[in-house]
Amino acid sequence: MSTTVDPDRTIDVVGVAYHRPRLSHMQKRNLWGFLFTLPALCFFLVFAIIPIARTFYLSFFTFSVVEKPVFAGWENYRALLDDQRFHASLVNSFAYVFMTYIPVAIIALALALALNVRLRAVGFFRTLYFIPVVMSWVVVSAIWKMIFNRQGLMNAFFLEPFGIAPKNWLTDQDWAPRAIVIMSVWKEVGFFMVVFLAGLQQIPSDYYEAARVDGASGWQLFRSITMPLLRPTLLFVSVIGMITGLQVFVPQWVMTQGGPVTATLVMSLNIYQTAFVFLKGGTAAAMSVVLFLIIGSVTLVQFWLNRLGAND
Amino acid sequence: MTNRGAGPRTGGHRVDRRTLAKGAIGAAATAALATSLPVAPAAAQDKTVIKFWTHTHPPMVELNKALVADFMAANPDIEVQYEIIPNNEFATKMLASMGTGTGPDIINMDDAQMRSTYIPKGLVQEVDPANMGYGSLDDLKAAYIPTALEGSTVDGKVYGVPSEFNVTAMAVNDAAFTEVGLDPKAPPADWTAVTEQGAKLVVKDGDTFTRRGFDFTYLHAGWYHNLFGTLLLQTGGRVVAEDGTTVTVAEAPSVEALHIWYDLIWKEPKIADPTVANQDATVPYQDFLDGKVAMMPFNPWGMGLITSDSVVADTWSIAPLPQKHPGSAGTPEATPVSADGAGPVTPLYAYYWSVNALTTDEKKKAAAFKFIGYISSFPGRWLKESSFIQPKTGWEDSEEAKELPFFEVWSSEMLKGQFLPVTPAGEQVDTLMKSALEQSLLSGEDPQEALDGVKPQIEAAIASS
Repeated sequence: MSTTVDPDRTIDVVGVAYHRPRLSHMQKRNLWGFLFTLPALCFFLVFAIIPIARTFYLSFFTFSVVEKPVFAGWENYRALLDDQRFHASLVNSFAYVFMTYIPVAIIALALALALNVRLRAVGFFRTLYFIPVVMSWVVVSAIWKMIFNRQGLMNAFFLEPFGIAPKNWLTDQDWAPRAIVIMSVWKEVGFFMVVFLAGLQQIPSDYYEAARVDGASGWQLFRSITMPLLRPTLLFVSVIGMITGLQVFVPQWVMTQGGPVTATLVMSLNIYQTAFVFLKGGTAAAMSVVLFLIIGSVTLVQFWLNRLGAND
Repeated sequence: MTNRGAGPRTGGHRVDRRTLAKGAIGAAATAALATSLPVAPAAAQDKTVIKFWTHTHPPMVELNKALVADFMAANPDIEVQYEIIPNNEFATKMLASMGTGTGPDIINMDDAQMRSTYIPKGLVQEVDPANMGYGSLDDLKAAYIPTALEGSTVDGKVYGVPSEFNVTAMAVNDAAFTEVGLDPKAPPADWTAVTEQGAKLVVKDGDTFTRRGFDFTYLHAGWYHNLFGTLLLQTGGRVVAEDGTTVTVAEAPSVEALHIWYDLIWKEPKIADPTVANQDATVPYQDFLDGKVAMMPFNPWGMGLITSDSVVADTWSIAPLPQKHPGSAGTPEATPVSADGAGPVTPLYAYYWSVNALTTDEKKKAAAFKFIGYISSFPGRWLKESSFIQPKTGWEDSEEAKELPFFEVWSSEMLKGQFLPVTPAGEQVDTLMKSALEQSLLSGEDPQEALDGVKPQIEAAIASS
């Protein structure tokens, strides 16, 4: 048994004294920092790392939510090569990302530029554009489902007044994906507008003043000062847009359930149906791994491109 | 007078760290003690709690709620927690909950899923006649008409009793018929006549149908399964052959079945249009109720949705389902059903009350069977209050049956009835079929090409099942 005689000296059972190493201020700070982050790390380990690792593991098995796994090797991955629904969902996911988040970025940047001024009502407009962001995707999707109905507002306001025959947007293979894109752009613009606003407000006004003294035009200010200094924000927007877009699930599930045919079947929805409707958990796990790798790869490429651009 | 709000600045009691710690420990101890105390009387703790989930159908939900309340009043030791799941999510949520061990103790599922998934995967329990109030399994079987339990029977073992037993007929908008000079008492008996009469019933505003002559519904995969299955029965087609592995969906009888549907939409005179059809599975017959379609396939439970607010409230009737081979209509006994479709045939489908086999608590299982025995003992109320046929032996002789609107049609259609065949990987095949059918019906792809396209996908789905 040990007896502590002072905070730094300990006598062990045979009476030999030794000194416990004294922690430096930095080490103590790091230790406390680690201890404070430990709960979050445990949470992350339990709810992110372990499930991800288990998904990798299960992708090599055949199982369903109601059956035990049986080892299948690479079979689940091989099956994906011939799976037309999987191919369709991949294409649809990327189409959704590009059709949604490129317009979102452009509109959000334009709004941020417009609202990055000192006007009395600017707070009102910022709030107005942000309202869709705080609404639930499920609620928004259910509302827009009615808007896109044949008797809905979309036809009444935008087609019928111009003599265009009303359409049932969500049962048309060509228009259903576009309908979801329109809704998503409306929903997402506010968030990215706020991100761009934050980025714009980080740019020192001195740069603009100096450039104006030198006679720079508005376009030159935007091209030579705003855009280069917004590069980190643009990277953030592109990465978040890509990740969010590739993981999209709710609007497709609520509005079209992936149809008509497979026009709005995105990867997350396909994974969900494969696991819980078709009861093919191993295939769904393999799809999840592929989605994970795609998102990881695309994100790395975006960082790499951004670094290349920064070095130019 | 003490200034309670001012705190240390006015010389009041200062809360130091030690006091704060004591307070926190005290509060934690109090909370721990409180949570360890019984929250309900001892009697309530002894209650057996069972979960019961159903899909959404307002008349059914109301009656379920009433019967749950009555059952709990009669059985104070059992608590039934009733939950309603939206139709579109019902099948998925049910299976997902089973996989995570959070499923209901009482499952209310259709025959196709029972036979393709729940029974083969051991998710439902064989019936327990004793706890359901029967002397034996034979007594239970004898309590129902012979076909009633087919949808929940595999290898002679019975896994559930019907909560609703459906046959498909056709709803007719009598006012629309009269309006265009047709006799609602002589509705079309075959698909050619459907097209001829349907063309007269069509009303358009420009290019837009405001009333279709005849139409099916365009909802989720289960609906497509039933409706296309209806036509397959008539043409003798199948998605997958009886061997369970040979995909026959692109063979002539199946293509013919799809052509019946496709031609209504795409071939002149066009009398159907999916682009104006209702998309809400909670109210699948809304278009008929609103007078937007003059004829459509209909089930007995659909009558429960017709209210005084419906456009067709007093001007509807039920007629036999149009057939490829109408045979001698009205005397189905004279035209026996054949497997190759050479005779009138209508699909049967049913929902069954079953007990979750994954429930490990035997008390819960016993309570669940007791509840099923109770809730299934009111066939008259089910028929009267929700138009659900519970085919107990002699049901057709009951007063409620005789009061069922168009009872004669329903009972004669039932004699032509067959359950639809199930396939391996049923849910996946149904989803693939939905896509193929939509490709043809919504986008106009030739039926043969649409079914050729889905064939390899179904083969792959079955091979990997």
